[in-house]
Amino acid sequence: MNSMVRLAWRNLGRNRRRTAITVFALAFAIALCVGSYGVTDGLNASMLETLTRLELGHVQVHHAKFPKKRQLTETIDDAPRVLKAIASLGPRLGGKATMRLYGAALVSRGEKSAGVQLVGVVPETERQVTVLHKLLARGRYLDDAPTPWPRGRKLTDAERERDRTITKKVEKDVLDELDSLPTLKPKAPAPDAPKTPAPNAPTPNGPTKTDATRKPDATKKTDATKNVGPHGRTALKSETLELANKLSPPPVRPPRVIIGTSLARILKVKVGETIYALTQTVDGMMAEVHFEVAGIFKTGSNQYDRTRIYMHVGDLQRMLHLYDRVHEIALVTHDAKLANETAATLKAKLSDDKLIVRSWSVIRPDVERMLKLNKVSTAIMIFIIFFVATLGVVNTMLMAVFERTREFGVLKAIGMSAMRLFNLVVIETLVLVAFSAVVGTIFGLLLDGYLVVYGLDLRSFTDGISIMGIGIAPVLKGKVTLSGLLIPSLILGISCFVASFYPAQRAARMLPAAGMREL
Amino acid sequence: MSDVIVHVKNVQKTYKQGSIEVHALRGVTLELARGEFAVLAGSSGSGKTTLLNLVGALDVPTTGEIDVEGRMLSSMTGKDLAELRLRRLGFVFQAYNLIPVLSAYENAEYVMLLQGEPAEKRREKVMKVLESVGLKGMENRRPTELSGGQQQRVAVARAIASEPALVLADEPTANLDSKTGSDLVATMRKLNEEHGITFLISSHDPKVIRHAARVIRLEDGAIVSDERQNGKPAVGYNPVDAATEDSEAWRGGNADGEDYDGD
Repeated sequence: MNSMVRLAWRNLGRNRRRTAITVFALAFAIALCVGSYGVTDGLNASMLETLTRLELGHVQVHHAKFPKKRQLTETIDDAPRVLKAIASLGPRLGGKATMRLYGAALVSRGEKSAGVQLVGVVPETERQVTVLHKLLARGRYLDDAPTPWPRGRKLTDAERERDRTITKKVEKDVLDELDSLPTLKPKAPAPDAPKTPAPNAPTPNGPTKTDATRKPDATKKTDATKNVGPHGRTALKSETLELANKLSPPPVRPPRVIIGTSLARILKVKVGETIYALTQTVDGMMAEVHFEVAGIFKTGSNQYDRTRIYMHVGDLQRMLHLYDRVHEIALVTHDAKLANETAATLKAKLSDDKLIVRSWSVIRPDVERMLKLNKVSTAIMIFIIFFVATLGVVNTMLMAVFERTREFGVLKAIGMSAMRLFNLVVIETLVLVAFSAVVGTIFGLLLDGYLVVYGLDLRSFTDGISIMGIGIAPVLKGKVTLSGLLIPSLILGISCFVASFYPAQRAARMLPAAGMREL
Repeated sequence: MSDVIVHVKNVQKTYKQGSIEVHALRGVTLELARGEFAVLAGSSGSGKTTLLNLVGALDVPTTGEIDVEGRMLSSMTGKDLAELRLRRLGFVFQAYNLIPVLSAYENAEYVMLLQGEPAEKRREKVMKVLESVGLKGMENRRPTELSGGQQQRVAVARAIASEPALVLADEPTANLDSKTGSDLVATMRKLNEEHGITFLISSHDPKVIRHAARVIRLEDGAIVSDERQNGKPAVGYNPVDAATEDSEAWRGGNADGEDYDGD
């Protein structure tokens, strides 16, 4: 075999220019494919990184019903148990975990307002799981400690009684106001209406008892206005708020939040300024609070930059009255490829029907399909490039066989079998491809290196790319993987190996004397 | 093993050149005994090379049969024929036909390499035969770095290095100077006598014919005489005319790209 390889190598050196051109073409094709793999792997890694390291993580744990309806009440009852199970996953499957709480709010500043999702995070662990803290365009990240927030107390009996009285007064006032509206007044019966009155219908002789309670007379209306009119109602409102603050006092200062660049632009708010938020607590009450904008982040994804407000989970728990509860526990493993295995193991460890454990690919199957599609697209491109390259190799080898017909005749004459001659041509092809593969892979590695360091700069075309809601940096960075380096050479090697059979069998089938008669 | 190493039975060979048929051999019958040193003589186009090619299983006859060492070539597979050529036959071609990317040493060694001989044995034999054909010190030269005569000597070295049972040589001394040619013929004769290797040589060279025990003359594809001699030239053979014809065939012939020169 060594002598065949040596002979093949020397044969390639006969027509050095042709060999050099073929090697250059093959090396170029391989380098191009290695580079394409680098970009695709980089894009996929960037998408996966953005998806998993911005928020999702590799594995998530939720209340079993939370993913469908995302109700405030669907919380993880025993988060410490889940964290303990994650810690027991071991070094291969385990990783860093963080807890999150979600809420919805309407935020405004001046006349500008927007609907947002409030995300309560544990800043210390969130930093280990996501890269949000690295994406701050202005300001600073969240404080590790929640905002000092005094605890409420139960109302005294007198205060409860006063609360009931105010409630009744306000209720009556509101009902009276509603009844006074023209559209709610009962219609006068028509002249040709039937004499028998309809059940509960107002009679001509006067109002029914119900009507009497609903329809205030002038005196009562005056009293109502006097007691709970615009001025009086304001007073009651202030008194109600006072009572509410005793139950649930406001924070000592506005909780600090970080918001996206798009939201900051919509609300026209800067770092250090406050925004107003209105939300609903888990028990259905409206809660309002002012936030101080501590930082403004830019993820590159408009969805995140426009709709997310991150705050300390403790602050959001107080706002939503979901003390010690979380909606989500996200886990980042050491290897994204092991996410499914991690999810399955964690699910088995938890063994709790009320909880659902899912990997990122289950949560976002569309993204997984997209990643696969990217790879398939690259594979199709590689197929086309290599198809052309393989034709070039076949042409080169056919030329070599035709040129050396006489020599092949001699080799057969001195006893080389048809199979050995066939092998010689195949080995020559493989030596040619192997040499090209080495050169091409080195160039491909250099190209990859450039893409890793400098990336593919698309800033002249766009500020940012968003694929399926996942923000991609405008500078596409490449990624070097072993498969990306080896697969192009392997595919080219296989295709050229198969393609070399044609010139090889031409050489092998020739009669020695016929070969020697040729030039 | 039979004493007859080659038995050619009424062999015809016809080539087609377009619509024209060229009858290179017209019913040749010949027996060659083991250990013979025979020369095929004849003018250019008489069918010498065709007969050598057919005996060497490099080509197939149109009709007729050829036995080599008792085996009918027409009944053998391609693999068997390759094995026969590798282990039992040696070839010296008219146009050197060396492998251009291999050195003189490697060319001479190549057949033994295909035979699977161990490196040490190969080295010993190759050095010996290269010395015998006067190429000592030129082992590492490639064919392009050797003269025509030197290349032919490498071809002879390649043919005899593997000690075949039958060597088929097509004008082996044509490009060698007188002394080297004589030495080569003497070497071949020595191999013939000491090792019993059978030689069938097409040649016009009187040195070769002088050494030949048997001279078979061909004309227009048929044997016109088959004579045995004891170191004397065959009767009616003019080496001067034959050498002239041979040189012309050498310069023209195959190298000019004709399909077949009929020699």
